[in-house]
Amino acid sequence: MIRILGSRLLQLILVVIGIGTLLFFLVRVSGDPALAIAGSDATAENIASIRQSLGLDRSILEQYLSFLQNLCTLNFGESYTYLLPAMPLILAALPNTLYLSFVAFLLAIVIAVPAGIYAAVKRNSFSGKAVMSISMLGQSIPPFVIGIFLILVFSVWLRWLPSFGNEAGLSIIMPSVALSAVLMARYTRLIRAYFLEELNRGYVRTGKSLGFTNARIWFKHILRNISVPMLSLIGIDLGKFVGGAVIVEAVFAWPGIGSLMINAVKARDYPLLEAGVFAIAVMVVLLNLIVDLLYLYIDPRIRAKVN
Amino acid sequence: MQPKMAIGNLFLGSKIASKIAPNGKKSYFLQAGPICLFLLAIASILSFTANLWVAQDPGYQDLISRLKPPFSKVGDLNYYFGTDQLGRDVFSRLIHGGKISFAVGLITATLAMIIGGALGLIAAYFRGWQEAIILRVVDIQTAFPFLIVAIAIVSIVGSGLTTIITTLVIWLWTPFARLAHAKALIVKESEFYKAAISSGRSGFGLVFQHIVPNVVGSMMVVWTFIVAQTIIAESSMSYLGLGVPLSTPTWGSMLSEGRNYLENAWWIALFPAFAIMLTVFCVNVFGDWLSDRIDPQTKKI
Repeated sequence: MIRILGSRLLQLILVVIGIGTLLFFLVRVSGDPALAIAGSDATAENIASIRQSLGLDRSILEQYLSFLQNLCTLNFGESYTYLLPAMPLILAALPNTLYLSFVAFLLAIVIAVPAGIYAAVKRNSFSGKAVMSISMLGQSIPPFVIGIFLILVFSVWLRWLPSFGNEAGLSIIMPSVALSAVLMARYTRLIRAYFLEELNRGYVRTGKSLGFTNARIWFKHILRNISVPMLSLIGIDLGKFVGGAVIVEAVFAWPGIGSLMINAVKARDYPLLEAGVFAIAVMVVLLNLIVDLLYLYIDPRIRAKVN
Repeated sequence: MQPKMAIGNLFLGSKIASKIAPNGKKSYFLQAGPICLFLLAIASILSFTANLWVAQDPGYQDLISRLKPPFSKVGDLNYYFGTDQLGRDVFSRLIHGGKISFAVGLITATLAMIIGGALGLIAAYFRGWQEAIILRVVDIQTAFPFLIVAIAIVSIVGSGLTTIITTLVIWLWTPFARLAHAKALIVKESEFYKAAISSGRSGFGLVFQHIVPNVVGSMMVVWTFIVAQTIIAESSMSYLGLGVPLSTPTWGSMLSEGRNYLENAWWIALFPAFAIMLTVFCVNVFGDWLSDRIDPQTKKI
């Protein structure tokens, strides 16, 4: 238990320092941030004073050390565009991103589990194959393309749902569907594959011979056994999922970290960008930690090994 | 239970079991693999030769005929897919836009395969600290949303074809490294490899003659899926305005321009959306087909 926490913590530190360093040097190499802030009609004195206030007149090593120091205290400086400290801005947008991701993820699981089991049980029938075909198609549409299709159908043609922002309660529907579609399709296919594997196992035969109902065997026994490999895949997918969330937020102008970061990119607002990347890194490592702990909860064999 | 499935499980792993139904019939999509490859070949040839046969210049703005619906005719010009907000021909932009998607997809996946494959082989051949470092990096990168970092890098360094390909290669070499490493370790356990060592072979000759041929098949399978991922990543970055400069048409940038005109000009966004979807779909179906031919176990790694 402590070992898992420790190794994740180490990973967190490595990731944050690595990415922070990368961003730090890229920003410094690509040009003088002071010029970008000052604008094209600034005087040399203006630029010099901005350089001084940002600490850019010190040596690169000094700058890097103070950057690391600020990283530890979560101080990324003021956003160039909002003129407010960058980290609180990101934290204010975080709940919206978490809300969207959580709903999308839940949606993917709620649909994919029954769909995958159905496709496995009815593997030879037309309907089972249809589920597989649809999921193959679903896997091939990137989230922002699904977003465009959804907006076109439900906002423009049917006029049922708002096409951007998060004002009405219904606003969550299209972004979460767009974000979850790829996962839904992927998990349907994987659950079917794992499920078919498990169907041949001895414990399924034993359950049948004891007169258990199909539903009991499927949901209580098989589902529990396939949840371990599924979990490890979920852990791997988390990164891609967060990447997808950023783009979906941009498509639907969803007021989360993603929209904030895309605007920061366009305005070359590096403090905001660094704070955003930092927040996402921490989030992904923490989610991976939760996945690790879920293993322990689900599989007593792993629990025994760790203890 | 059905003996055929049990045997499938025993020898070939789960993928075959899921693909071959107990009556031995293959699933419907697998048959479409070669057709998809053919369609992709046609589409990419049409894109790369667009200069030769598409009459309209993709960048030509005709502000008088803005937002014309599909199949409009202005003078003697046919706008099959309509025109966009600047009066540019959507059909022409769509065909020309394919160039970037196909080129980035093929080049990135190939470079990532070469670099990732080499690093994976180094890790497996030397074990030791080389392995520790390479696998550690792979682990961290796999778990991290690298698209975010790619966005940050491109925004700082400035967009352009080379930047995009470089960042995507930095992102996508890891699956190849993981796979090459895993496969090479299996080869190292085999009798023929030990025989080769005991007959005095070592270094490059050993790796290229005995390990590489046994790794290449599965690498090709993963390569196709990475092509699909790259096309998605490139169009995502173009959508966000971080792709190649806007003067070059890409499907992603067309989509993002069309996003603002969905209310009155659906065709600007819909055609590139279909183009991305169908291309990725075809690559995936072909990849599925290939994986069943070459290497049924690999896809999950």
